[in-house]
Amino acid sequence: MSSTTRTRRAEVEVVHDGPTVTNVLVGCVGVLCLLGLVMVYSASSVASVQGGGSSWAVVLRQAGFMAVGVALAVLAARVPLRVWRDRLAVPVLLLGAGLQGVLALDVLLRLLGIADLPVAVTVNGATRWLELGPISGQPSDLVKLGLVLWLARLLDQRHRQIGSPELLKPVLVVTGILSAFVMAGDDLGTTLLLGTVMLTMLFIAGAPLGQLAMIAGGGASLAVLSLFVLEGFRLRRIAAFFSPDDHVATEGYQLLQSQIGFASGGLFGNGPGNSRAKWGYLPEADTDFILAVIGEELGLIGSLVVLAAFCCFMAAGIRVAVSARTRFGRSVAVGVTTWIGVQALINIGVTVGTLPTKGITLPFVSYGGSSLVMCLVAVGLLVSVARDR
Amino acid sequence: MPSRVDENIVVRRRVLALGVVLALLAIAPTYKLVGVQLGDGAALAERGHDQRVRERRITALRGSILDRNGVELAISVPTKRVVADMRELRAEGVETEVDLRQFARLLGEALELEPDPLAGRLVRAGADDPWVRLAEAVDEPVAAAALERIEAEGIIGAVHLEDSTHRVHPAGDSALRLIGTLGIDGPGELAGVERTFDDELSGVDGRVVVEIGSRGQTITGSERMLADPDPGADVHLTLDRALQHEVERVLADAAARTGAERAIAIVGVPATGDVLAAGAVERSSVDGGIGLSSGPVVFSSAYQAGSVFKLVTVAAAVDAGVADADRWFTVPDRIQVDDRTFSDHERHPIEQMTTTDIVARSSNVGSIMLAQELGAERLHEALKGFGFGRPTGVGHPAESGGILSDVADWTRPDLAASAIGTSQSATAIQLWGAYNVIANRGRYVAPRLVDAVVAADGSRHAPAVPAPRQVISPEAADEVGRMLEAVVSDGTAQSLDLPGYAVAAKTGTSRMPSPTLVDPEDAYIWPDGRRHYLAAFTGYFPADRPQVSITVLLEDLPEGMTGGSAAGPVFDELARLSIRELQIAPAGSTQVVPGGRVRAQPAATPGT
Repeated sequence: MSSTTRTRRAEVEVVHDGPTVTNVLVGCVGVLCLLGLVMVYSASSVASVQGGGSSWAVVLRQAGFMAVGVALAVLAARVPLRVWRDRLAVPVLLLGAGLQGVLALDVLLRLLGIADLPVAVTVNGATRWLELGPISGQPSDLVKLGLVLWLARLLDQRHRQIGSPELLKPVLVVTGILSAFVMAGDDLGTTLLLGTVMLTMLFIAGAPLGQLAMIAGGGASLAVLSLFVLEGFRLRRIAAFFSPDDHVATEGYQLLQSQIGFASGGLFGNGPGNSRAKWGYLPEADTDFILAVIGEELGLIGSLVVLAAFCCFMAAGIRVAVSARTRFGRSVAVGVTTWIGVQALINIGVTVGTLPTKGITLPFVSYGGSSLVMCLVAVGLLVSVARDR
Repeated sequence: MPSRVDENIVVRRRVLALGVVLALLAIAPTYKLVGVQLGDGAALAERGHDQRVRERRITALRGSILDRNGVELAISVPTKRVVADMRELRAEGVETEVDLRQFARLLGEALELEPDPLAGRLVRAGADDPWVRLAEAVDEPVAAAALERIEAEGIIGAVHLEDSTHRVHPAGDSALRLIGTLGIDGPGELAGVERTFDDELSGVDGRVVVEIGSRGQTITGSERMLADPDPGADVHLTLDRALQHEVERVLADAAARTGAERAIAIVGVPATGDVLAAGAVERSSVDGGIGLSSGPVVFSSAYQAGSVFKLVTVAAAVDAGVADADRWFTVPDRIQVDDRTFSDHERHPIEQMTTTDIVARSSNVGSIMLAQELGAERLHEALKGFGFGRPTGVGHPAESGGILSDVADWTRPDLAASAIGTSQSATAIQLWGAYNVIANRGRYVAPRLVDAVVAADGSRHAPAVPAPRQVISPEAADEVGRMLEAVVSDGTAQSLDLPGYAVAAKTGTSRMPSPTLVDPEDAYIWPDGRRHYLAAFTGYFPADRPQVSITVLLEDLPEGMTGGSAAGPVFDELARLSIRELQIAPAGSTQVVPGGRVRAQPAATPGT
């Protein structure tokens, strides 16, 4: 009698496991999205009004992107994993790589002095945005999704070759090309993120640790090399990171203002809408450095809620990976979880000053259309894995 | 090749390891967040506070200056002050003197101001001065447009507009030299009532703390009042604006008619010392046109006013019992005192004159004879008693005390010269105050320009004035008063014609010393080779119950003009004006005009 009950209870747990994880995922993402919407409004309103527009200008666009993202996420969750693997993985990768390639081409053509592509937008020397008529965005977000899908498909199809150099060849070539495209846009943060996602997915797929260490070491050397080869501004940022006060007027200024925001917030914050950093002191207050505004307005409690939400998200992602039915599903779950989790940790690390300034957004929270939409699609994908049983 | 089961175990382990790694990665930012937000963030928060919190002043509204009837003479209206923050300016790349001058040019063009003074202020300012005043009293729309223009040039947050005030004079330039004007730092050292009562007028500035954004914009809702501004008190003058304006007009006409370079008049109430009008006009050295004087000459210019000083000589002699009105003197037309000869204005044989005759005909020789009997000590004492030799304290910072040399230094010729007013000098206000002694039956009442200071809360106080003092006996004063009446009825002021009103007055005509010594023999020869004359006419009426006293001075008249012929008509016209403005009843109809006396002699004034 008792043993039967226990068995049933176990069965019930198993049956309900999927939806529960899905609830946690959706709950975390929902909290982050809504908090993001409110904080994007707060952080952008001053700049919007000073720019001569409505205080709602930025947040309404963000809400629009959110609507599109949620719709695509629901769609993504309903697409069977089989279809993702067989029909969508390669096209998504090609599309992402193609768009990012256009940006790289623009950089190359400008370097050679041949042409300046009108679709590529360069801000502060970094070519990261594509503008196609009314639609604009950062293709690097699509590249991340494409890499995760394609790599999961490859590791599934050729799982018998795990650990062999034959498998590494396409992995390194594709990741290398994508990284090169992204680096052309002067985006070391995204490049490191791509490498981390690749390594993690190989690791979970069972690649030998020695091999992974060699790849990691090689990648790190390349990254360090690129620091010295490319223009000095990233070096300055890193120098500023180590001594922000010496670079107050330049590179360290942003970090200093970010920390002033956190420090002013204290435990409970100054209340919603009462950030001072957003009054022109903190650059990128509504995008990369939005956590500082959250910390200032909602205090340590607010910033820890954000951190906790990402931790829950990662835990749920890991749970999905563990209980995934297929290799493809597991790889996708690990890839998406690593992508979003590590991106969030890098962003938080940058805003609080444990990492050098990178130019990476806080998923779901920062203002930015392509980032928000792609992250939401990735969540849809994760839900699709959870449903696949 | 691992089996499926082995693979699953490895994968599970590795996935869990990933989870652990990710969790570990989250520790560092958590630790840092707690540290900054709960732990050692105070210094950072303080830094944020410093970069955005500014204390700003709210200028208190300056009090008004009003005439005796409450008519506004000077009021403050809100405007904008333009200030620069040198630190912000430097941050915007405007740092070197060349930059600052170029910036001043841009600003000057935008504010419709001369760029050089602006550049001067910017260049002189300390490099870290957060509050450099560039322009005051800028109209709000002009200031806002200028700020926009500067920001359009990319200089943002370095120039601010503050609320300020601008002084407006509804009566125009009338009485402006008495009231004074304000510069960028408030009233200048000699700027009239504005200066004397600056503390009362200016009030206390308020202070407000605001938080500013990176471009200097005020953060919404961040203002916190530290102290409300305390508006300044109003200053009520003794002046009557209408009479003042008329006096200035009459003086301008008189200067044009007589050819005087400058004309001065004071009209006031002898019993209280209230100055009702004090005007001065002068001829422009550029185009010869006549306009209001550019300085407070009623109080600041001292004259060797000549015969009008004889009043003091005679009054002191009568008071001392040296002579009464009817005592006879044998008076020649010239008198030798040591090495100097003094002569009467007109040649005459040796004559018998009473004291009254000496005053009526303004005899120099007779006056000197009186003074010689009186002695230097008593004459000097009387001159001081009548208010000469020191400022009257009327309430104007530019007031001069005139010149009255120490009696110890007087030689015998000095005594003679002092008796007829060619040794000492006096301002118009001193002369007016001296004649009031006779009108007030021997009492000296200090002239006053300010009646009361009324604080914003309505409390009123009268500024301190010296207590009235008895200079000569009432009887002596009455006797001298009758002599002054004789000047008008039989003497040098017979031209005066004021039916129904007995006037007591004295004329004076004196040579003006040349500003530069041309002829070593004669200090009265001017660079143009001619002598220049000062005409004076001072007195009061009605003689039996004085209500108005008037002093007129015409400076630098052509030869042939006298106190009686040049200044007399001005006195006459001012007397008629006063009768009309102050509703003074003629003789035999005391108090028939209700309000007349009340208006001229406010009940609150001291000494009545």
